[in-house]
Amino acid sequence: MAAVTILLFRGVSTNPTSSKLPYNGDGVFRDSMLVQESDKSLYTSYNKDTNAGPQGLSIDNNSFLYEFGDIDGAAGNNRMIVDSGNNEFYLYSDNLMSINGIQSIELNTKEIVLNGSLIYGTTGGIAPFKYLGLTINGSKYKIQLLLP
Amino acid sequence: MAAILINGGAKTNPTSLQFPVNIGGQFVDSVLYTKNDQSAVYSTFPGLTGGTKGINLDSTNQIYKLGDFNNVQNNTSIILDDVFSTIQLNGVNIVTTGGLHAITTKFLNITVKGTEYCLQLLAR
Repeated sequence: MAAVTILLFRGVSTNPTSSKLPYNGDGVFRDSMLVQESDKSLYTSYNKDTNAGPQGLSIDNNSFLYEFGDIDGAAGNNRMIVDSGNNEFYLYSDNLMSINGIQSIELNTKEIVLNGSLIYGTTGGIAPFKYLGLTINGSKYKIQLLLP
Repeated sequence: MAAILINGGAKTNPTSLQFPVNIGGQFVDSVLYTKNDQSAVYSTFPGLTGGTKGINLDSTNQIYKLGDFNNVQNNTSIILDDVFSTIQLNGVNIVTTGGLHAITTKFLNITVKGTEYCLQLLAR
């Protein structure tokens, strides 16, 4: 798409806060929840009135860290982290320990809930020597994988 | 909802379909984009190859992505496909082939479509 600059009427102001993405609030640019911290970092703040966060969504391409949920633990600490820098997935929830694992999926929830019409099958066969690596509350396990 | 009128003076960000961000009192291009029909929102980042990355919310195909889904670093990402009802976890070294295979007395609790199951955990 070719770059086209659209000019605004004199007197029209940007949204008030630097680094915030605007939205049209009744004809006035207002601060949204979205904050662009740098060319490689975007996150949502608690609400439009504050830069505090990230909370809800955080995209950090400096460290290749992507977070979704209660990132700062303000409520139940339920969040998911995709850490592509260290090849890890994290799932966090209440009553959990801190974890330090590598190259694994780390589960800190009491339970994983999956919903979907095609999310499981009723047949399967052994896939020799293939395992899913897990770290649960700091202890390393694996689950044998079956072929569908 | 009132429209914002345009003419001489202040400027929007330069690039069509790219969300603006206020940087020091000027609208510049942010890292967030929309499709013209508003069916998708996605992010790209200067200096990183591979196209969209970070987040891609595609309501047309009902595919929602978070992470390094274009393999800039280690390809670690989660992809929710609501058409095929799949949750895809991507990344190198997710599947392991070595280590111990001893059966433990611990199980991972998992609820699939409302039914509770558990998966036996092996040592590694």
